[in-house]
Amino acid sequence: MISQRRITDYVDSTGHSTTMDEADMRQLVSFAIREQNYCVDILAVREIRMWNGATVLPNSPDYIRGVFNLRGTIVPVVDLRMRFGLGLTEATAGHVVVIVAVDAAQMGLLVDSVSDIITVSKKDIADIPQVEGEEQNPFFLGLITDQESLTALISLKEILFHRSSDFQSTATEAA
Amino acid sequence: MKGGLEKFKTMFLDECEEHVRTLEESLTALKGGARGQDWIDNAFRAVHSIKGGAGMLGFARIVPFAHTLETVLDAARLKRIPVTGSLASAALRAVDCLSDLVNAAGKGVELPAGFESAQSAALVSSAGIAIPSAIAIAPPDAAGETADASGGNTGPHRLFEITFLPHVGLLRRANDPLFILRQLMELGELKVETDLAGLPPLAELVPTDSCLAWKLELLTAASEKTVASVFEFVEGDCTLSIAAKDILTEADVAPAVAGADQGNPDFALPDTVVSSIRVDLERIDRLVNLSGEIAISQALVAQLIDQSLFNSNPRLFQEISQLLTHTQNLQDSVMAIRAQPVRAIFERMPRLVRELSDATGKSILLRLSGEATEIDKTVIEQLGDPIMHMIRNAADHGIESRDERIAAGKPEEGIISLSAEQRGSRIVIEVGDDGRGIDCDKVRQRAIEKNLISRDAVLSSDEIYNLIFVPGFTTTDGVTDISGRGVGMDVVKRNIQRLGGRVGIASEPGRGSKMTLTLPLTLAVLEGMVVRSGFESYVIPISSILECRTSWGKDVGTLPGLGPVLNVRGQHLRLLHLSDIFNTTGIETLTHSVAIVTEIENGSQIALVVDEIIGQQQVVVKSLADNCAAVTGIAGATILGDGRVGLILDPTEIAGIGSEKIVSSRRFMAREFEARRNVA
Repeated sequence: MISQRRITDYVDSTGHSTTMDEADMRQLVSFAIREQNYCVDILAVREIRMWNGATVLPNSPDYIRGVFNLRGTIVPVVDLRMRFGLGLTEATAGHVVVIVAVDAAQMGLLVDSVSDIITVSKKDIADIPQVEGEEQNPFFLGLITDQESLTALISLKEILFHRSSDFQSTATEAA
Repeated sequence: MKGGLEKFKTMFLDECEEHVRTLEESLTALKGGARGQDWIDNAFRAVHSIKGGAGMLGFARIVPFAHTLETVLDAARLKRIPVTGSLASAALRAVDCLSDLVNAAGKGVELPAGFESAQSAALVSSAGIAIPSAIAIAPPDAAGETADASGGNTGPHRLFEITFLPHVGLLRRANDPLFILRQLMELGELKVETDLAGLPPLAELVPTDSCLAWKLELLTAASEKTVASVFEFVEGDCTLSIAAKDILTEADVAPAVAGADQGNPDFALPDTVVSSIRVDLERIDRLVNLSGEIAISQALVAQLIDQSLFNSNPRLFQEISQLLTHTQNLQDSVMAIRAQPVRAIFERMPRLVRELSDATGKSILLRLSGEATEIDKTVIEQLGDPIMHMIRNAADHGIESRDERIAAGKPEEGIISLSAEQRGSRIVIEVGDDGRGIDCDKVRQRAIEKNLISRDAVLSSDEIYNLIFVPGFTTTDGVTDISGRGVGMDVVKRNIQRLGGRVGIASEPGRGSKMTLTLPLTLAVLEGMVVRSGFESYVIPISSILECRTSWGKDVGTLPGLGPVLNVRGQHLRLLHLSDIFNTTGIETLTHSVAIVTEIENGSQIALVVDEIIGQQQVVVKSLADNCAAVTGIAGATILGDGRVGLILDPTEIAGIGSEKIVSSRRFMAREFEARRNVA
């Protein structure tokens, strides 16, 4: 938020419109699964917790690790690695659950670690390269390239609601 | 302005509901033989208030009917006519009709012409008095009509001397003396004398202050009450005296409404004052949720305080124990907020029974008891229909016809009793009748005809009674308006089970039958059995548990097409392993595991195998569906004492999963047999 405030202040003092860049800037929380970075919009993130186990939800998809108690609310945890078809996370106390809100629902994303908060402008988010003859991977909205790394922007709605689970991530190949 | 009127209408309708309740209560008491003056006074006041309100809001349809009822009650009140049971019944029917009129007015529905005339006539004839047609209260927006009505009045004219001295703030409360004067003019001949003494010089005049006073002389046929009612809205904002000259033998002369600070006599009675406040349900739910959280924290703390704490810090131990007691009380109080007396449902039933009694031609008396018993609001809302169904059934199937009863040596009047009471943490509601009871042979015969049971099935009488709850079952030969379509009792059972309750039935041929509903006090908290299967803890609602069996290995068998079964005193129940149903890795062994016999919705039973029983506990029910897709077999979730989520099982759904898994279950059993043989 601070960086945004500065941009606004600067624009203000020069007498230009304040809305110019603000709408184009997005702040994203990035986290890692294996060596790969993924990110979600910071506005969707409610809080970040350490992994502390979950109650197994019977007869649920394999990427639902269970449900846990978030101050009285029952919240499901999605094993993001499993969701991307990269195998089950061997969860330890060092693993991290990112709690996000999708519409009115809440869910936790089990990831290896949280990396950073990044501020990008909308034009820095590139489209996912379309592979000829293959269905578009529904989980990703775009790619953000930095000098040395590549971060994939996740679609939370698809994570929660998309039914087919066996998508091999294109992002791993890119990494 | 329109909005204001709407608000008054809503208030009026709310009040009417209360007045109708009062009427039913007092008239039922009178019908039952009570002869206290209070009852008849209360009834009279209630109908008077309805008439007054209706007149003020211009509900022209209600006023004449209410007037008739009021006149009859007034006559009874002044002992001009005797209060008899038949008069009370006629009055009760009139109240039903009046409540229909009020509801129609509230919804803006126009009832067919003559809807109320039959009741009105019946009432008048049973009272045996003539009803003057005067409409006493002038609807302000129907001035013409009123003038006609009072014009047609042949009663003696009287002279009223009225001193009307508005207080300074009268105008600020949106009252206009001119309206009042005009309204008085409509009642009769009015002479107005204005007192300008209070009028200040123009420079000092505050336009929103009221500074005039009036002396009025009104020659009218209207009663003193009517005249006083014109001033109803300015009461408290003026000094008023109404003196009737030339008073004739008018019996119901109320003391003159003498002044500003005298309250409306209709509302000053202590028993009509309800000391309650309206609170948004959302706020209460938040409170309930919070207290649920406290319950969880409390359980956590309770686990932490032990003997060692007592030894090391007795003072702290004592204070914490105190705190736990208080939080328990707090929780109980919070739950009590949502609790409401079952009266809200019970008081709808007398009317139902009256209608049923008319429709069937049977004479039926309804006995209510325990109306003050309190249950959670949500439960109450869903109890009305099941109870109605049961009463319909009792009236239609249970109570015999008049001739049949006389032939059986029973009193002509059949009795249906409806009672509620609290037993421990559950509420028991009973609907009983003194009718013919359930005919086991007939039920059995009908069940065979409908292919519900096989011809040679051996059933206990309890099992036969329970056939009544099977969808599509009915013993009545013809479909009547009241019941007989066979869509009653199964719905009753399903609704009650959805509320976490149970339905029982008992019957004695020739003596009557009794249905018993057992319900939890609240839906927010559930009495549960915490069990362990594999690494997870689950909660099974106590309401569905019949028994727990520890050493059951020798009672296991296999039935073709049904898979493994558990023999419980000769009854073979399907045996389902929870770990198998949920595909979790269980470590159940025959020596350690427990079979829990649970009842499912269609009345049959299953045996669920778990590893261990942890204990009985009250748990706060949380919705799983807020954030997750619904999971078959899981009714909800709760937070257990250790802060982890425990899933609440739905035995009926689990039985459903079990059916699909018979094959895999059978494989599991084969393995178990193998294991046992090896041990042996």
